[in-house]
Order: sequence, then structure tokens, then C-alpha cells
Amino acid sequence: MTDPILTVRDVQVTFDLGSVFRPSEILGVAGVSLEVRPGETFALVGESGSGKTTLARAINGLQAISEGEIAFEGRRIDTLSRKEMQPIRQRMSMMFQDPVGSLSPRMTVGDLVTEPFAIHGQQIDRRAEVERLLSLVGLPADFATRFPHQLSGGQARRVGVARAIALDPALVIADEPTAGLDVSVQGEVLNLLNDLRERLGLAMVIITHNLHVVHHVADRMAVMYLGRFVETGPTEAVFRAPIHPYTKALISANPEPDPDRAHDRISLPAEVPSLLARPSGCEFHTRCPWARDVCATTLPPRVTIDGQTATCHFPLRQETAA
Amino acid sequence: MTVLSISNLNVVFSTEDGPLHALKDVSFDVPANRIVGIVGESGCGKSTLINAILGLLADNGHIDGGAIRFEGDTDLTTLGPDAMRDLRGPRIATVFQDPMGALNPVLSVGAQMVNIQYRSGRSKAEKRARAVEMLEQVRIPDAAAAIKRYPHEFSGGMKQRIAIAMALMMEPALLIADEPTTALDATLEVATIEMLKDLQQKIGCSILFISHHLGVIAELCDDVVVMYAGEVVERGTTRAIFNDPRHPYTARLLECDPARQTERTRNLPTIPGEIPDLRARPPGCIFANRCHRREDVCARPPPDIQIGGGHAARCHLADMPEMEVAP
Repeated sequence: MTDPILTVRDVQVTFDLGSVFRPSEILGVAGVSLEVRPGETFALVGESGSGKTTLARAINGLQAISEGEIAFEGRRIDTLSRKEMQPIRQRMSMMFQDPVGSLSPRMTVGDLVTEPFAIHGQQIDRRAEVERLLSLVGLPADFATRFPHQLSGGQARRVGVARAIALDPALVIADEPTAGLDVSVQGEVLNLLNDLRERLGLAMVIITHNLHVVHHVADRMAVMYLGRFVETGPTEAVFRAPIHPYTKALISANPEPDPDRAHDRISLPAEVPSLLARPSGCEFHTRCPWARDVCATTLPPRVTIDGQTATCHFPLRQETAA
Repeated sequence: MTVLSISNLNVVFSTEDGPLHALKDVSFDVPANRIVGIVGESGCGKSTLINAILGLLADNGHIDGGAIRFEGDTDLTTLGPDAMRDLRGPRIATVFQDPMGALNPVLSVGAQMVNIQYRSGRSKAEKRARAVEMLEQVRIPDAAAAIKRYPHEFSGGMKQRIAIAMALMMEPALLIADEPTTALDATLEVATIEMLKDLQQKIGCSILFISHHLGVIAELCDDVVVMYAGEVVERGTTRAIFNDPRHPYTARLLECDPARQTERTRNLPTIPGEIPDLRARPPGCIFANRCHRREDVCARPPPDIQIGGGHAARCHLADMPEMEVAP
């Protein structure tokens, strides 16, 4: 097995709230660990506010961490200064959520896709590079003179992908790559990401709350709840037989495009606890349909079955799924 | 009884490059007590349609023929701004995608819910009681205390439920919901849909529900209208549309949904090509340039072919079942 390209160990991110006189803080990311290997796609899934984007920003050095370690290509990066971090970002790029909003409205597509070279002071043949990048993401070369407002959501997303892969990175972090796109365009973007990953040997971290996206692109996944991983494992195994009740509820909550389908849905109380008042014991017990007394008082143990790990007192299965 | 009946509606925007036909011959009905879903991709005219119904088209847009009949004979296209303003709110309510945009951040939720009852003729205490009652209906815990709080103190899902409570407070005949669950996560999305369904039954209103999430449409709606490039290409009951799509666009759109691919795949289906320029609509079928079933006849304008049971498709080939294409 090759060495991981990205290692995250027990990372915590705290946010200060309150004032000088009444200081308080919340844990946005409460101790997570993960590894991503070259060529692998890792998905982070969870509700808004579960800490997915904060974790991604921490990996990219855009958010300071308070505990833990992040290593990239064998080198610890969480302790680096802003300036020292700059060259690392050539190897690790980020795609931000809003496809159109993440592009400067005053720059042409050609300027946008070559901006990474300018930022990192690389001399390039601009025309050749624009052509190469646009063709990699499947846009016609004459798009180089267009402005973001002249692009559709899917085209703007392709420009975002071109920017992310411009410097030939080893890892791309994609925050909600398909959010806000039409279903027919979602497929195009996912195909593009899959294709680039194979051709360029990229590792990817994909953040999404769309489980169908995860199912089709990710090798491994982690389900986040209140800043912690409640379950991690190979995507197919997690979908086939989740261990943690929250994972099961998420998978069953997905509305299916079939009016005749009978839903054996697990409905959860809609109230997500506040990070200011984390529940005691298992933090999911306030919404868990299977919760018993012990869940409210004692921290749940970590259970590992066939490479799938979850933190739960009453895992939904004990041994290998048939 | 039909709450909203749209017939042959055309909307044209004047642009620098000439007139743009944003809606072309749009016809469909919203019957009483039904939830009608509108599906279509960005730029298909969903928002233009809502704005036309509400009388809120942009200054460069105008209705170029057709009628929007509401609760019987009133044609909304002929009403003046004052008459339209009287309808919006009490009779036609709306919920939008972003709940924060719908709530005033500097007023408490209760103050806003009391304010919007200004035409109800109720006393202040009655208005307050009504506000608490509506919050309870949308399952906001501890509603009596919640009305004193400000919008930022609620989560995204709760804010959207408050927006729905406000929209339904005056018991409108029609609720227009424009992608109300798009910003929510799967578990909250489902909770919101179920709540909307309950309230619709309780109040007895109709809902026009706009979404590009096919799963939500399948779950919530009784009837579905499929729009493409400003035209209604197919309409019918939810079952008819999902189980027996007759327009090639509907069929492709359903296939594209990643949710339909139960087997994990590296290569998801897509619809190649782009929507034609609406300033220069092709004379024939609007979908012909992307259609895999295109024939010579498609260069002529397609009729609305009735398949039965209110199911209709604007396609020359609608009454010929689609052959399975050999792989």
C-alpha cells in the first residue's frame, strides 16, 4: 500500500465566541482523523454546520487548528506560516462552493484559468496553457474571452475545475462541486472529475451533502455530525450496510425519483443540537431512534467491522454483512 | 374547480439583441387541493413563469398574449398593480429558496408575523395568538417563546419553516414555492416536504412547487409540468411522468438523475448539447437539436399530443412508444 498523501490526525478547530468579559468557544471540528492516498477520492458527508467546510479549510491552511496534526506529502503543514504554505498550495488546490461566485466577474475565462500561474510566479506560454486547460475540462477554446456572467452554472464549474488543476496538483479539495447545478449537468461535472482523476492521478477530497454524488465518485467516505466522524469506511460498504444510526437515517432520507417506491424511512427529529450545548454521552442520542439510557450518559465506543468504523453503543450490525 | 389556469401564455423580454421569447404557449392548470410540480433546468423559464403569475415581471418583459385565470374568471394579465397587490399575500402567497432573504433580520419573528396580518381586522392579541398557532403548526418548539426571537437565532431549516408559516398565515388559495428545500440537507428536506403536505391538507390550498430535485417532486407532487426552454414539453400526473414519460427530454432528464443510477457507475448519463438561443427559436421542435429520436417531421412545430388522463406531450412522436436502444 502506498503512503498516504494527506494525513489528518485528531484535528480540532475552535471558534471564539462571546466577548473579552464572557469568553466562550465552540468546537467546529472536534477531533477527526483521516488518510487519503494518491489517486483516491474521499468524501465528507454531513448536514450544514457539521464542520465539513471548516475541516476542508483547515486542511488547506485557510483555517488555523487548535489541536492535532495535518501532514501533506510526508510533511507537517499545520505549523507552517502563510508564506511557507504558499508553495504547498501548488500541490493542493481547492474548488469553492458557488461556481459563479468563486470567479472574479471582472476577469475573462482566459485570465481566470491562468491566474494560478501568475500567483505562483510561473512563466508560461499563456495561449498554449489556456488552450490546454480549457480542452482538459471540455470547454471550446473561444471561451477564453468570455466573462463569468456569460457562462452557465455548469460552464462556470468547469472553469473552477480548470483553475484547480492548472498547477498540476496532487490533491484537489472540492467543496460541494455539484450544488446548485441541474441534474443533467451534475452528471457532466462528476464525469469530468472522475476522468481527470484517472488521467492526472489526482487524489480528491469531496465535500457534499448529496449522497448520490458520494455513491458515484468516492472510494471512501466519512459521515460528519457536530464536528466528529460518526462513521467512516469504503463507500460501497457504508451504503450497503451502515453501522451508525445517523448514516442509516441519512441514506434512507434521500428522496427517490420514483413515486411508487415505498419508503421505509427513518425520520429524525429535525432539531440539530447547538454546538454551544453539545449533548452528553453520544452526541446523536437526542435524535437517535434507537437511543437507550446509556447513550445519554456514556461516550460511545469505537466499533470496527470490515474496515468500517463507527462510534456507537448499539451498532446496527455486529459482524460482516452477508 | 381550478385555482389557477394558464392558457397559451407568452412572455417576451426586449433585449439589446432583439426580443427574447422566454415563455412560449405555456398552458396548464392547478386544480384545487392539488400540488403541482414544475421541473426544468436553469433558464427554462420557471422563474419567469412565477413572476408573470405574480405580476412582477421585470420592466423589459411583457405578456404577449395568453391568459392567467385565478379562482374562476379573473384574468391576472388584465389586473392593475393595485388589484394585484391585494391578491398577493392573502390569496397568492410565495416561499422562496433563501429563507433569510424573506425574513427581516432586525425585527423579531413575532413582530413580523403580527405585521403581515395588518389587513385581517384582528386585535393585537388575536394576531399574536395566530402567530403562535402558526409556529406550532410548522413544529417550531416552544412557539410562545420563539416569537420573541430574531431570525438569526434559528437554524436554516427552522427559518424556512417560519417563512412557510408566514406564507400560509392568511390561508391563501395558492402557495407558490420556489425551490424551498434546495438549501436544506436530506433529513431536513424530507421533514419540510412532509410538513408542507400536512399543512396543504389542513388549509386546503393548492401548491405550485418549483424544483429541479426530481426526488422531491416525485415524493410531494400530484401533477408534474416539465419545462424546457420556455415551453411546457410535457405535463401529467406524477406517476404518468415518472413511469411513462412521452417527451424525449423528460425521459433523458429522468435518466440523468444520479439518484436513478442504483448501480455505482463512473460514467453518468448526460444530455449533450445546449439550450437553443431563445432570441432565435427554431421553427420546429425546441428540443430537436439535442434529441436522439429526431426525425424530419421535427422541423415542423410539434402539436400538444394528448395521451389521456390529462397527460400531454409537445412532441411529434409522443404517441409512439420509445424503442429500447440496443447497447
